[in-house]
Amino acid sequence: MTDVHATDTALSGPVEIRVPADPAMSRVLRLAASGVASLCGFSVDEIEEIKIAVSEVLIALIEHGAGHHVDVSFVVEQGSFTVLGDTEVHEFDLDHPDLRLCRTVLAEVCTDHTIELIDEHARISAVLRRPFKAA
Amino acid sequence: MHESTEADDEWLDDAFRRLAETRDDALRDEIVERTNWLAVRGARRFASRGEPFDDLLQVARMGLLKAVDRFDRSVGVHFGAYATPTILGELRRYFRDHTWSVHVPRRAKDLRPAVNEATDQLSKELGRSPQVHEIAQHLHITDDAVLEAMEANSAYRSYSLDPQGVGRSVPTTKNEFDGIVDREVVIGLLDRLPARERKILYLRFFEELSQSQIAEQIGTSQVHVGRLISSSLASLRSALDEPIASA
Repeated sequence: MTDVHATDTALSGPVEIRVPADPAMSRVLRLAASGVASLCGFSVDEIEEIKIAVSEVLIALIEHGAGHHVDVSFVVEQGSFTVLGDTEVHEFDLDHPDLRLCRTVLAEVCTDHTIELIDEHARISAVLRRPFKAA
Repeated sequence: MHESTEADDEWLDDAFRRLAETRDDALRDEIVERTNWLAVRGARRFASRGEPFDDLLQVARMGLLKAVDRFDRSVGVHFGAYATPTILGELRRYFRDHTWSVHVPRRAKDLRPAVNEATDQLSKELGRSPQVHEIAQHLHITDDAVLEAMEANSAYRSYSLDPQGVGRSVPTTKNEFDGIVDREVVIGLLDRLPARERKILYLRFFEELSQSQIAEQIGTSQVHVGRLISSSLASLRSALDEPIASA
C-alpha cells in the first residue's frame, strides 16, 4: 500500500491558485498551503511557518499591488516549500517601509526570499527549506 | 463606579464566614448584590468589542456567582482579587464560544483544544514536531479536521484567565487586577490603530526593540518613531478611558 504520508515527498508540479485581491483570501490560501504541506510530510511546526509566509506574501501583494487578483503557487521539492506570489502593479516602491517589514517577517521564517518588479508585476518568492528556521 | 471600602471588606469577610456556616440563599444573594460592581467593571472593559453590554453583564454576573459559590476565605485572598479572574474567565469563554474574528467551522472550534493538547503530547513523546497524520491518528479524526483546527488557532487566540490557568497566578492586589483587565482591553483596542502603528508598538513592546532599531527597520527617523509611539499610546489611553454609554 502506498503511504500517502511519506515524509519529504516532492510534488511533480506546482499547485497554482488565483484568488481575488482580498485579505479574507488569506485563510483560504493558508488552509490550501497547509493541506499541501501536510500531504508532503511537513510537521505541524513547519506548517505554521509556511502559513506565516503565505499570509505575508499575499498581504504584501494586496497592499502594494493594483491588480484584481493575486496568483499564488506552492512548489514542493525535497525538503523545501516555496511560496510564489504575483500581481499587477502600476507603481511599486521596493523601498516602501511596509515592504521592509514584510522582508523582516519573511527573513524570520524563510531560508530565502525575494521581492521583485518585473514587467509591471510584483513578484514575491519565499523559500522555506529544512531545517526550518523557527520550527 | 463603586469601589470597595474597608467597611465593605469587613462586611464581606463576615458574610462569607456566615455563608460557609449556613449556606443561606438570601445571604448569598446579598453578597452578589453588594459585589455586583465587580461584574459591571469586568463587563465594561469588554464593551468595546461589539457585543451588547447587557449580554456581557449577564455573563460577568454568572462569573460573579461562581466566584461567590467557590470562594474560600481561609485561603487569605481578598474576594475581589479572587472573583476578578473568574469573571474575566467567564467573559473570555463567552468570546471564545460566541465571537470569532473570522467564521470558523464549529468542528474546528471544538477540536482546537484537543489538537493543541495532542500536539504537545506527541511532541514530547516523539521528541520532534509531529506530523498532521500522527495527530489525526492519535485523535481518530481526519487530517483535514486537524488542519482546520490548526487554522482555528490563528482565527482566535484565547488564553485562560482562570485561577487554574497554566502559567498564570491569581492577582492578589488591585494593581495586578487592573493590569490584567487593562491588558485584555488593550488587545481589543490595538485593532483600531493603523497597521503601521500597530507594527511599531509590536516591535517596541513585544520584540523589545529600541526606537532606533525600529526606525532602521521601517526606514524612518528615531524621532518619528518616538512620536508615533507617543501618539499611539495616547490614542490607546484615550480609548481606554472612554465612558460606556450603555452601562
